[in-house]
Amino acid sequence: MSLYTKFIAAIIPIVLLGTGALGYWSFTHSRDVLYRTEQQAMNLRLESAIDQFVARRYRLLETTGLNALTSYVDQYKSEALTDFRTLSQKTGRRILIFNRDGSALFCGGCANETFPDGWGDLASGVSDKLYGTHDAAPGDHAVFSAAGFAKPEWNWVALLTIPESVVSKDVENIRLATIIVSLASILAVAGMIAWVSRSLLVTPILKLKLAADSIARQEPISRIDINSNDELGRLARDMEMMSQATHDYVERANAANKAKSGFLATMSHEIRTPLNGVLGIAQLLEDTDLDPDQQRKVSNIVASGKTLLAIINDVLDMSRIESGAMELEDTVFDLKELLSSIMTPFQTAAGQKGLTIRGEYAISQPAQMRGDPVRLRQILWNLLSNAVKFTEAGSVVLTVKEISADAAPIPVLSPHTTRGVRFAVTDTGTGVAPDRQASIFEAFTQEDSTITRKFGGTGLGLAIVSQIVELMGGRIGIESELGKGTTIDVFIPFGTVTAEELERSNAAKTAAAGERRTLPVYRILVAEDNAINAMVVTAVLEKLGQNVKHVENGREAVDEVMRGGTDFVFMDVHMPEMDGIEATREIRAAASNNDIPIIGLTAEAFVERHAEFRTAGMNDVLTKPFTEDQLFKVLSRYG
Amino acid sequence: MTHLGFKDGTDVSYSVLNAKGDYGRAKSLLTSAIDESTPDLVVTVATLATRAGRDLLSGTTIPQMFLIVTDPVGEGFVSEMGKTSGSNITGQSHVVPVESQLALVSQILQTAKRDTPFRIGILRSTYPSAAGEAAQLRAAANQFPVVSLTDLGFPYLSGDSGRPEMNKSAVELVKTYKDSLDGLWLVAGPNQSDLDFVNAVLGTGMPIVNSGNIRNARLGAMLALQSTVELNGRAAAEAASAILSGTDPADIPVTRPSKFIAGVNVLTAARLGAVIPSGILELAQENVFYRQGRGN
Repeated sequence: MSLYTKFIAAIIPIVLLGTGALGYWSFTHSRDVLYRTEQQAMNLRLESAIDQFVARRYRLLETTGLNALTSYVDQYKSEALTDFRTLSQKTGRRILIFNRDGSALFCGGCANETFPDGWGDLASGVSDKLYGTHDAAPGDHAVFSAAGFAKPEWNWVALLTIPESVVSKDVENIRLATIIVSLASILAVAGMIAWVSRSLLVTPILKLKLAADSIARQEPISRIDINSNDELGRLARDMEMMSQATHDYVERANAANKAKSGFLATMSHEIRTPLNGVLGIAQLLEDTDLDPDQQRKVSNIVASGKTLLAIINDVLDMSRIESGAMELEDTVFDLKELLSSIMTPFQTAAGQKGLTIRGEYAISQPAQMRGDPVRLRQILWNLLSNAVKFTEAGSVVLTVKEISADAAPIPVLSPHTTRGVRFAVTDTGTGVAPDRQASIFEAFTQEDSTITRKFGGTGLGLAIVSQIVELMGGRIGIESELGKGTTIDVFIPFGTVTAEELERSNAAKTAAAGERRTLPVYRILVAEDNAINAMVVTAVLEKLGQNVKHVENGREAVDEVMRGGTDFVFMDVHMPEMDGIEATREIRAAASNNDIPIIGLTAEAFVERHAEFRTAGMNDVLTKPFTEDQLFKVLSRYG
Repeated sequence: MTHLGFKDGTDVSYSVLNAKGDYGRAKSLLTSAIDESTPDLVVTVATLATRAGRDLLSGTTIPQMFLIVTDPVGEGFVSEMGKTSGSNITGQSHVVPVESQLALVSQILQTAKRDTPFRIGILRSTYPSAAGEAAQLRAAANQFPVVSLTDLGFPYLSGDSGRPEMNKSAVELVKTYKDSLDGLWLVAGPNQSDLDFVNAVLGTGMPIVNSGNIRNARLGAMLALQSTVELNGRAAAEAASAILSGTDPADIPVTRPSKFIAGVNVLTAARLGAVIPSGILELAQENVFYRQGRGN
């Protein structure tokens, strides 16, 4: 309920009560005044009538001495009663004349000349004047005024009456008028209050709310259109200052965040570059003729390097997720092939621990779907890796089942273009305590610190998995029992593929199946300023049978390509004199060089930077440290 | 005139001509006076004098103003009461309209609660104003069923020498109708102001129900409505002042005085079985009489 509605809802009862009370007071006051006025008018009329009709004649008889003549007294009484009758007819009021003893003498305005009952007793009790209401008989409830005239031969009591219904009719009119005026007043007052409150309070408050919304969205506001010099006006000025302060703060925060991203990018580059050298040389060394001890030590170097690389990747992924920089691919992939390729490495690891590992799949045809296979692989790799890591005996099972939209744990927006797949990794490992299950997907969390010491890792794995699943629009959950095992359950909606996409994918698979491990001998130019990395990439390429030439910066690379005789370029990004991006642009500037594949080599792991490299003209980008297999695939694809 | 600021001998002077109720004498006196000196205004009193003045002054520029004329319309001085004459004559009547007189007499007689109307004889001479009022009464009588009027006319004889004979003929006339009448109505004219005439009529024993003279109510007339000399004189003085100040008589309407006085005789009413209603008694409060009989 809006503030305005609340205000109106609060004020209307007040207006109703106030106006109702005022209306009731006005009504009762008017009614009393009406009764009083009517009785006063009746008193005056009756007194005037007695004076004019009775007293005047009596005085005349007395003055002329004719009061001794019965004929004159009777005549003048008759005249007086005639005047009363005329008055009754003219005013429509009933006039009753009684002798002092209560006997009826005359009734003007009586129906059928019938003298009414119930008034004699009242008349006999009138000494001088009396007025009020009298319930003489059923249906004869009247307002009356009575006055006496006590003289010899003229000892009369006169009553002027009016049915109370006549006065009540006026009261009803007053009541109706009061109701109408009250309702009109309510409408007018409510309207005015609504207008005033809207003008003075609600509209400014709404403007303040809109301004607050803008501030919340970090949108700058230059001015709030409230010009009143009151509390709201001052609040508007305060909010304008607050907006400016917030804007400045956000600017500073963005700058700091940018600096952090830059720092991470730099660190990523700076760490990956030597790590690329370490891993590359170690892998090359593994292929040399080493004794068993040397072989074990080199293997440890490779394993430690890979662990370090995994840690760096986790940290970078987490950084990407937190900054909102993580982007998902949207490409066609074969789920069955992906599952097969991911299970193979774990067969060995599980076998070494005496564990059984197996996959149970229920995936309908076609197995091709649309999504991000790299991140799916990362998810499953993490889950299987954890399962194997935390299971000492028993089994690890990966269950993959395609489920209908109706059975999906979350609403599927477009059932016809979405395929929901449930992945469950079940182990018979140590399990997770119930009170820890809720936080297991939070970053930097392991069940206890001893796990880190015992099993290693950054504690970021499940947090990254959880965030990626959320990015994919999926859902992740855990069921676990200490000492019995754990099931991590992941639901991910993938896109369906069109018939055309399916055909293209099948064709690509057929071509890939026909590939031979042998490559043509290309004249490859490697532009790399780091001598170790240059040595590694050169060694791997030569191992693949390629003819490699090495230059140390972008300028030399451009010159070499311009001289001709280059089939393939591996271009480092960060180089002195001319970086790889500029060198790529210059090479692409010559139309004859457009067909030469240029593969970027970089330690920068951020996707947005890779997009920048591609925009400059690079065909693809390999992130250091890369493997021999990655180089082979690149040569196969672009050669 | 003095009350209006005219000083005798300085601002105004009067020549009084007494025609003694005789048309020829009035005409002769006025002719002589005009021949001597053309007056600024001729004031004529009573019907015959006014008629003589009119015959002499019609067609001249000498303004004429009349008063104590019973029937100016009947005499042809003006077409309608309340209107102007359009010529050099204006003035006023002194009598109460006959309808008003009939209404008040009817109110009194109604109290007698008789099933038959009162038979009233209009006792009048052939004097023009008397004959004119009698005619008006007869014309209006049908609106008042409580009375039935009979015209009792006798010849008018002018001058003091003619009055005894005229009175005698009137008494004889009343006696002739004594058994067929309940009362008499004395109309305007010289007779009702003549004490001998009124005493002679009262001597017949026939009640007088109406007379335009308060003195007659004291003598026995049941009702008398009249304008006083003072009221008539004041109205005439105001008109004369206007004419002398330059107002054309043709622009001054012929009117009646707006105020009258009333007199009642309770005993005569009682003889007729009637009671004076309070409204009329109140009107005649200064002139309520309880006896009847000849007066001096």
